[in-house]
Amino acid sequence: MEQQEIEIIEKIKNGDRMAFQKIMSKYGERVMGLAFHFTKNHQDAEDLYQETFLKVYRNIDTFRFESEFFTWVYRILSNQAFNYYRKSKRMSIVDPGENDYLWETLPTDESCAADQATLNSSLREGIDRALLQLSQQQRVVFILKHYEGKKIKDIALILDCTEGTVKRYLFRATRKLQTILVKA
Amino acid sequence: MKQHKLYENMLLLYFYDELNSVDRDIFDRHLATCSRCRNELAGLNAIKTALRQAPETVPTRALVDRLNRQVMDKIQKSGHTKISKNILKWANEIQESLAGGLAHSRYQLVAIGITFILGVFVGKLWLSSGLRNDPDMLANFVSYQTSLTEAEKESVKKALAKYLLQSGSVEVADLIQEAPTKNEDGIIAVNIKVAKDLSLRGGLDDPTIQNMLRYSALHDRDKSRRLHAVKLLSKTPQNSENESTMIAVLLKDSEEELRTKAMEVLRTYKINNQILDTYKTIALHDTSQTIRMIALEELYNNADENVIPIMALIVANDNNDDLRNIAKKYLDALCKAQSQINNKQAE
Repeated sequence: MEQQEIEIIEKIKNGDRMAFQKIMSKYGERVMGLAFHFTKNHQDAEDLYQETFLKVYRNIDTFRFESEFFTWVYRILSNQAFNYYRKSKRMSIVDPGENDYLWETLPTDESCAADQATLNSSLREGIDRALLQLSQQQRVVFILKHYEGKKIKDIALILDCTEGTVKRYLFRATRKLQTILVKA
Repeated sequence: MKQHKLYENMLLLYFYDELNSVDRDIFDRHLATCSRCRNELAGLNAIKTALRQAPETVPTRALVDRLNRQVMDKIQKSGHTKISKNILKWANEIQESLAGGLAHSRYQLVAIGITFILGVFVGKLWLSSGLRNDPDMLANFVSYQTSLTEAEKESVKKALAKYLLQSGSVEVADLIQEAPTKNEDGIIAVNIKVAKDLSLRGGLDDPTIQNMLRYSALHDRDKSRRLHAVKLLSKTPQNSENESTMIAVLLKDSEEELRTKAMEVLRTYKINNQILDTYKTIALHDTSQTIRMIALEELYNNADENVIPIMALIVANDNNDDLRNIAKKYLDALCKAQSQINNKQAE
């Protein structure tokens, strides 16, 4: 870990809120991107983002510099998504909402032709809709595996559950997605 | 049949590259002979390809900045989450600040008094949530200690102020600049309101005074004091804490005069990504035309690859004619410069 980051974290531990703002500025975009991956809903992603950073702030004393700081934040975020959002009823549809301008879609390839871009865009919508039909736990596990490339044993560690549980969620998610996407 | 069920379970682990080498070899051999598993695997690979091709949606900096402000507001409102740790640190600081004096017998009573008060205070941490009133007791105690010299009182008060700042339970009652001359900024007096007033004195080079000024610039209810604090901070050495304060004022304060002053100060700082991102947010979202104009000018003078889309957005969508015109002027110049670079590279 960089010395500068260690110093910032020490400052947060001593109650320096400015230092905490710096950490949020540094990792905010990555955390928000992941939060949206997990929730597929802008409003839920915002809630998850805020809950995650509040938890980071309140539990900063338990961070012992044994891992990269972002790994620790990442674990909190994934756990929040996996557990906290279990009760959420909001996740119903991919809703761009009125704040859509606050998000931007990155092209997959700079030389991408217009018709390919349209195809990719509808592909994304299709996948997002399919992901929404998974349970929250299935989706979190699936995203950690597919988008983040984590090993099953690492996902079990992050989510504090057994490898068997991860496999169960992952297999069900994959089968379900396969069925939905084939139908579409 | 039963044997094939076993392979079906292995298929997903194979797909996810989670089989050990022995099992992978077994499955490879099975795959060579089983068209059903091959078809199944092809279907799974199609999902993987689709996921890879799907474009990614990412949040804008403006959204993250807004959320960060909301998180900070919530932390601010929740108040003293770190109080127990800080009070213990603060107790040590007070004891250190008195260390020299404790050798003298007349200070022993004071030391006992402070230890007693801290004992009560720390004890209360575990018993009650009504902590906000307790700093009053300490402020009162410090102010009325006749056995402390003025210098010692100042040390104790500064340690107390440091704690109060961290606990968020302080209000700045007054900010006075005493006897400034042409060449010097004089002494800054900050009166803190707890219940009993507490007055701190120190130069602009004093870290506690600087801390109080940053606090006042961000949280003071009185706008003229916030402005005064920003002006005084502009005279302190440039550092990342002051930079963050100016950025926070610029993004958060509702008063145009304050934001304008913060902008003026920020422009004297060496440009970096954080400042550039602030200008981008300001250029798009500030309510003041003047401030947006300045932000546009700064963006133009320090343009990176993301500035052109921002200028284009303003040219295309903004309701304000003057802003659209100036953004168009900058956009044309930036595009021209860009095409010249491209031409040169092509040559």
